[in-house]
This record gives sequence, structure tokens and C-alpha cells, in this order.
Amino acid sequence: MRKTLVTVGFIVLLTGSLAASDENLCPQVASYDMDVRLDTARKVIIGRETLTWSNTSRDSVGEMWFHLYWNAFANNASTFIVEGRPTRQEVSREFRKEDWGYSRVEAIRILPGPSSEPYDLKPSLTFRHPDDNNALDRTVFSVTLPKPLRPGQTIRLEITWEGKVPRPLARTGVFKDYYLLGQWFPKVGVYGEGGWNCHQFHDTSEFFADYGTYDVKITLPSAFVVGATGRRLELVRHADGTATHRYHQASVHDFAWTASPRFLEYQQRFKFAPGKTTEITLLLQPEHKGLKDRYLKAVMAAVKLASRNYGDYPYETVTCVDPAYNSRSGGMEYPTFFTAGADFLDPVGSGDPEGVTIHEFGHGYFYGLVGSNEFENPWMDEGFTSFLESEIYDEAYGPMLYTRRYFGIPVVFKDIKIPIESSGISEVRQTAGLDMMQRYAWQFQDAESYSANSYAKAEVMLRTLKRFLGEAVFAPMIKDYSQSFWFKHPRPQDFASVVNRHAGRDMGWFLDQFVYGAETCDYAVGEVGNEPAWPLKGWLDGKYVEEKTPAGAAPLYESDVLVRRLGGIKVPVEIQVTFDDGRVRRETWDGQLQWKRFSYKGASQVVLAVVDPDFKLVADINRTNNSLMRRPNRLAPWKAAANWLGWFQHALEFFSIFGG
Amino acid sequence: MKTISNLSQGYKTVRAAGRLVVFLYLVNLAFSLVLAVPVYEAIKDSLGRSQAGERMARGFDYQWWEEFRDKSHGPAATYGPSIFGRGALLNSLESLVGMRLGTLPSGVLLILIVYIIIHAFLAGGLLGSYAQESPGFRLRGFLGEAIRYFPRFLGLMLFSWVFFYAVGFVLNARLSALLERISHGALTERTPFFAGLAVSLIVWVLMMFIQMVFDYARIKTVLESRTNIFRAAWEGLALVLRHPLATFGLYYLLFIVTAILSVAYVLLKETIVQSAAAGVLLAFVLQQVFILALVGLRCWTYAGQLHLARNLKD
Repeated sequence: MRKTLVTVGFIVLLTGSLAASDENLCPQVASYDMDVRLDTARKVIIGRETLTWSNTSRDSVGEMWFHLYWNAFANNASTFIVEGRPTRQEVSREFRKEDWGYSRVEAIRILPGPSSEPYDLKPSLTFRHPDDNNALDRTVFSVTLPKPLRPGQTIRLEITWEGKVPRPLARTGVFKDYYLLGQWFPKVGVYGEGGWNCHQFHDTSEFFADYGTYDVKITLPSAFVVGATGRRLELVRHADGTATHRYHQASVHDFAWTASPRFLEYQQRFKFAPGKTTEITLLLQPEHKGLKDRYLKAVMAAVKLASRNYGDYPYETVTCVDPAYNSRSGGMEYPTFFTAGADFLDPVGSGDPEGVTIHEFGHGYFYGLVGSNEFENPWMDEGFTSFLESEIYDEAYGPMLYTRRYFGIPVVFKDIKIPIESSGISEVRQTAGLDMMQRYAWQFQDAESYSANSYAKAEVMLRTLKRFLGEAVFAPMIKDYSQSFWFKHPRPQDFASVVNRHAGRDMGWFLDQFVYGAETCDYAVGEVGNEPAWPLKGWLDGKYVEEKTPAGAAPLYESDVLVRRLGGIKVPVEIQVTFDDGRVRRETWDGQLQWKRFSYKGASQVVLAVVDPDFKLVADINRTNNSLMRRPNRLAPWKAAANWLGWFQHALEFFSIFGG
Repeated sequence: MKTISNLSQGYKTVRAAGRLVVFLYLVNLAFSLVLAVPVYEAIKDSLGRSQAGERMARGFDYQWWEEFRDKSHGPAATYGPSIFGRGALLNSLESLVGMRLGTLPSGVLLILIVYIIIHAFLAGGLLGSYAQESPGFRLRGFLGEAIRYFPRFLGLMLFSWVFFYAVGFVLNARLSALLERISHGALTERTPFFAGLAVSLIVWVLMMFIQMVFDYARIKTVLESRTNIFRAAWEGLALVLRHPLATFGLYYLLFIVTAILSVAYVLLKETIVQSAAAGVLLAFVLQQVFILALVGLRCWTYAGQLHLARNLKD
């Protein structure tokens, strides 16, 4: 703790310039000054916030909408729990009275300002349920302003509220003395496109907000180690055994924090590019002390490579939280702050905790900096982040190794590497066809379809696009997309515009098939045939012809390669044909019709045909049928079956315990 | 010393009827081949003439396997990376202790059940042969003994299932529920991890205990011509409880030998590069030797237990 105070002292000197530079990053549309007290005995937050909100639209705004997310945990009829059944309901079944959470607005009023008079808004408070008409859901409310707020005007509201910290169902809550507090304060929605975009708290989505400055004072027992969005400016210890931590961060759209007396806290300043540094804070569970270096290495790899690929990380801090077991708060993202997750036995090469660390940090870009609407365009958040994760992981660590747990003990199969092309493709193959990729997060057929489309299919689409356009086009394109929409709210068409601009042509035909279609991509080599060529025999131009092959001449062959499109997605493909004399021919096919036949005549036979030989179509759900050789490899099935036989013989011998 | 002496006598008996071990191994192989053939066909069909075949011959093509897994049904669905090397053994052990038989494809489960019943039949032949003054193996004699004891051994098998069920399902479920409660309140995953290991260990030890008791029940049935399976089971239990050092000593000594053998097999097999026919053949031969050794160890256990029971009676 002493070390922390020294650090804080150093930070305070820098505060002014840092805060100012953060604020220059973007317009501060929705800013919060908060003063909150965590009562750990009652597991209650007593909070007061001053919201400064600017009307950046062209409309006069007559009402304001807010999220009140913790009411998702108030009862088992909330949209969050109903959508998440049976799992969420199963978990909540054993909830006692004190386990439920809530968020209750005690007062909400307009503070006097240049464009407003003091006014009590509480009487007009009305719960809204724009997504599903669930009258029992209390996660969105609105208040009516006494007079419309004109474009360009700013309003200041003071809200006092009480938040009961829920036992964790998902994402947020308290488990024993571990708190992860996300979506914990009354938060204004986003005004745009003629109305309020303020969705309920859903089982699968929760993020969309405007950027602003957060200045938050948190008071709680001094034994707690705290981590939060942004930089800690002050730590004041009080005589009553409590301490107040003050955090500040500009140009972010959310604020989350964590507290636990068990955290081990590590800090490291990291230079990720010339003249660019950020301060990494790692809050670790004591039993994961052995994973400290792996966590830090993963954060550093993520910061460095994401900066190179998507733009230099602009914030002064990043905080990685190793969540407590059973807290159901792992793998969560908030600006400059995220939770990962680990098991004390996680072996090197298994992908944990590195993968989740990179993923959640990556959300700092695709959700944090690029403020896409996770409710309405979930693939622009999860899909981009999944792509970022697998690309960075692969570059930093190489392919993951196949790992399975037996009796909870992980066993790494070092010879079995999982190539990056496998990331997400199984989900696409099995489930993505249930829906289009572009759907509101809660409108997918089920959680599997949401996941397969929003995470896997979007990731696979981006990887296919990368290989289709080539690294030279894709790398600047994705970086341009990222940086162009930092602190903005891009839509799918915005991404398409950037792709078109960099590709130098309209790529809608490509993107639309993935984004607005539910078809799959599957090209195959259908047949390879080699037949002796028939010498010409018969009437030709009035003469009888009977060609004869000269003695000793090499026989001629007529060879065919039939390429087929088995999936609904149509893309141009290349075909590589190899002949027995070593010659290789490359063909192209626009991939539009169901099939295309390539014919050859010559002294050599086709020995191998491969459709998409450079593996550009990562989205191809059946890679095995992309190639056809003249003769099969006979060893492979024998080898596989022999190994299976060994396993089964052993299993029989093992289970004979039941027979005698 | 008693244990060593019984083991030594048992070893001599196994050697004297060495062909019996080979016969039992061949039964195991034959049963396995019933499913290995369709698995081979499924893999062959899936690989076809694709380049994945080349990659699978050289190493392991993870992408091909994912496709294969996603489309496979029946026994072929059990093929995967975890059946290689140590995975093969751990798979069996975890399935046994966790009683995950129900998760196996129906074809695999059917063969497994038939094999278990056949094993009860073969155990009669085995013990009948070993109990003779001059142990040896003649198929007709072996089958005669097997037929002779089968009704009683079948009864003992079914009776043992009551206990296996009680441990594998009832006790296991209760312990798992307890584990769930422990996990529920744990702040670190270490607690449920070690508690889970303890549960697995308890279940496993109890299963081995049941096997040992019923081994002696079968031996009593043969040595003392018991016709009442409940009495035989009781006598088996009494023998184990009255002579715990000798019975447990013998059983666990051979168990340790089995464990050492398994580790040696895994280490050896994992060093074999199966990228050419010679490597595949070598791995196949090694695994057959291992299975033969496991069958031999099971026979040795029976023979040692038989001598122990006989010596204790004398």
C-alpha cells in the first residue's frame, strides 16, 4: 500500500496535463462526477452523481432516458433473466432475499445552469421497456424535461441513488469480499437518429453509451484494494477505517471498478511504441500469483500489437483484473479496465489466461474506442474483438495447443496444434446458419446462434476478407476503420465504406453475403478425371480422317477437373491443378454457378486439384473437400484407426472390471 | 512375504497356461475390431483423396478432425486427439470413475456391455483352468469351465453391479452434490479442484475394492464349488476383511505394476513418430504388447488371488 501511495503522489503531479490531454481526444458528451460509498456490511452503494449532458443532435430533446441496469437482478421476471433461461433462472432459484440486487433512484433533479432552472424530475420518472414490452423489467427509465433542450445546449442533473449489489448472476456483483461493479450507476442513454437509443439490460448485450469524463470518488473500508477505470488521483484514509479513492478518466463511455482485500496489486509502466507508454495495473487473486508474469506478458502483447494494428492505445492506464472464482465476472470489458480469468493449473500453450486477457483488452478498441452499438450490431463488437484476439494471440504465442482436462488436471497435447484458421469455424459450420449475422443481440434464435454469428462468423469473415484483399490492403484498412471511428458510433455501412475505399471497389457483394445472409461458404473439387485421348477418326470437312499415334510417342490424356460450389456464399476462387510431370496451372472461377469444369489435353495427367490453394476462404466450412488427389493416402486411415483401436482395446480392458 | 509368494505362484500358473493370456487378448482384439472397422471406414471416407489424408499421415490435421467431429455419429465420433498417448488411458480412467458410460455412442456402449458379459463368461474358464492341479489351456476345457461357472458368475456380476451402481451413481452423485456445495461457496478454484480429486479417488478406491471382493467371490465359487452367489460374495468380503494386508497387498502391488507399465507405455508410444508406415506399425505393435500385458496382469491378479485364497484355506 505504501508503494501505491508513492505512485499516487507521482500521479497527482501529472494529473492536470493528463486529464487535459484525455479530454482533447473527443467531445465530452456525457460526463459524470460521482461520490459513492460502499457499505460492505449491507452490500449497498449509496451514490450521488452529477451528470453533464450535451445535446449534440439536431433535435430539441424533451425527455431523457437512462439505464438502471442493476434492476436486471431485482427479480426473476427481468428481461435479462427471462432471456437467459433456463440457466439464469436456475441460478437465481436459490437466491435469498439479500442476494437480489437493485438500483433505486432516490432523487433526480436539474441543477441550475445557463440553459436550465432547478427542477425536480422524479415525479415524471417512468420505466420503459422498448425492446420487449416486459412491464416487469425496470432497467430503463425516462424523465420528462420541463422544457426541451435545444441542439447544442447542455444540462446538468443531480441523481442520488441506492444500489444493492447483487450476488453475481453474471458480469457484476459481490461474492464474499470480492466486488466487481459494472453497469452500477444510473447512466444516460444515447440520443441520435431522432430518438433515444436506450435498450434494456439483455442476456447477451449491455453496451452503448456516449463519451465523457468520469470523476469518481469511492469510499469503502480501507482494507480493500481497489481498481477502476482511469487513473487514481487520490487515496485519502479516514479515521473511521474507511478510505476514499478518487479516479478520473476522460473520453470513455463507461466506468467500472472492483474491490477486494485479497487482491495482489502489481503495476508496471510499459513502453509499447516510441514515445508511447501506459501504466498496467494487475489485480491478482493470491492463488494465481504464479500467473502474474503470464498475465502481464499477455497485456503487454495486447497493448503493443493492438496499437500497431488498430492505432496507438490512447489512455494512460489499463487495469487487468483476475476475478475471484465463483464471481461470474470473468471476461468482462470496460474502458481501460477489464476482467480476465484463470485457473491455477492453466498450462502454457493452452490459451488461458492469455486468450481471454487479449480478448478483453481488445474490447478496449472495439467497443471502447470504436463505440459501436453492441445491442444492435453485436458482431461489430464481439466479432472484431475475436478477430483481434486470435490474430494477436497467434502472433505473440503461435498456435494454441490442444488441451484437455482429466479430473480437472489439464493435459497438453504438444503435437496437436490448433491453427488460427480453426478459430470460430466449427461454430460457423454448426450454428451460424440459424440467423443472419446482423441482428439485434437478443433477437437471435438462441444463445448459440448469437455466439456463432456475433463472435465466430464475424471473426471468420474478417479473416477471409483479410486474405481476400491481402495484407497490404487489409492492414491499413482495419487500422483506418478503427481510428476513423474512435469516439464515434459506427454502423455496418460505415465499416463497408472503409472497406470499399481501401479495396478500390465496391465490396458490398462480399460483405452483404456474410452480414445480411445466413448461407455458408463451401467450395469443393468434385471430380478429377484422366482418360486417354482418342485419336481423331471420322469425316471432317468432307474427308475421312483416322489419326494414328506415332510409335513410341507419349500417350495423350484428356483430363477434367470439376469444381463445385456447395454453399450459398459466392466468391471468386482460384484452382490449382498439378500434373504428373510437375507442371502447375492456376485457374480462376467467379464462383457464381453451381460448378465449373476445367479440361486439359496433353501428355501428363492431373494428379492434384485444389480449390482455394492459398487458403483465402477461411470461411469455407468444409476444407477437406477442397482438394482431390489422384490417389488417396492409404496410411492415414490405417494410422487413425489403429490409434483408435488401441484406445478402445484399453477401454474394454478397463471396463471389464464390471464383468469379472 | 505371503504376498510375494502368492504372486510368484500366480506367475507360474499364468506362465503354465500362457496361451490363455493370448486367447483372452485375441478376444479383446476381436471385439475391438468390430467397431474399429466402421471407424476405419468412416475416417477413410472422410479423408477420401484429399490433402488432409497426407497431413494426417504425417501428423495430425486439426482442421480435418474438427470437420470430421462435427459431422460424425456413432463410434467414429469418439475419434479425436485425446485418444492418443496418455489421453487414451486417461479417457478410460475418467469415464470409469465418472461413470460416464451413458455419454458413449450407443454402438460403443453395446459392444462394451456385451464384452463385459463375455468377460464374466471368460472369467469362469480362466479360474476353472487355473484351479486345476496342472494349469494349462485347452480351448475345449476352457470353454467347459466357462459354461460350467457362467450362470453363477453372471449372477455375481449382476450382484456386483448393485454395489458398483451404489458407488458409481448413488455415492458419486451424493459426493458430487457435496462437491457442488463446497464449490459454490469457494473463493478459489483450488477448493473444488482438490475436493473433486478426493471424490474421484474415493470412488475409484471403492470400485477397486468391489472388484477385489468379487474376485474372491468368484474364486470361492470355483475352489469351494459354491452355488449360492450371495454366500460366495459374503465369503469374498470376509476373506478380504480378515486378511487385509495379504489381499490388499497383492491387489495393489499388481495395480502399481499396471500403473508403471501404463506410464512406460505412454512414454514409449509418445516417442514413436507415426509419419510413415513403419512408425504406425511400431506403435500398433507396442499397443498390442501393452494390451497383452494388461490382460496378462489381470490373469496374474486372478492367479495370485487364487493361490492366496487356497493358501489361506490350507
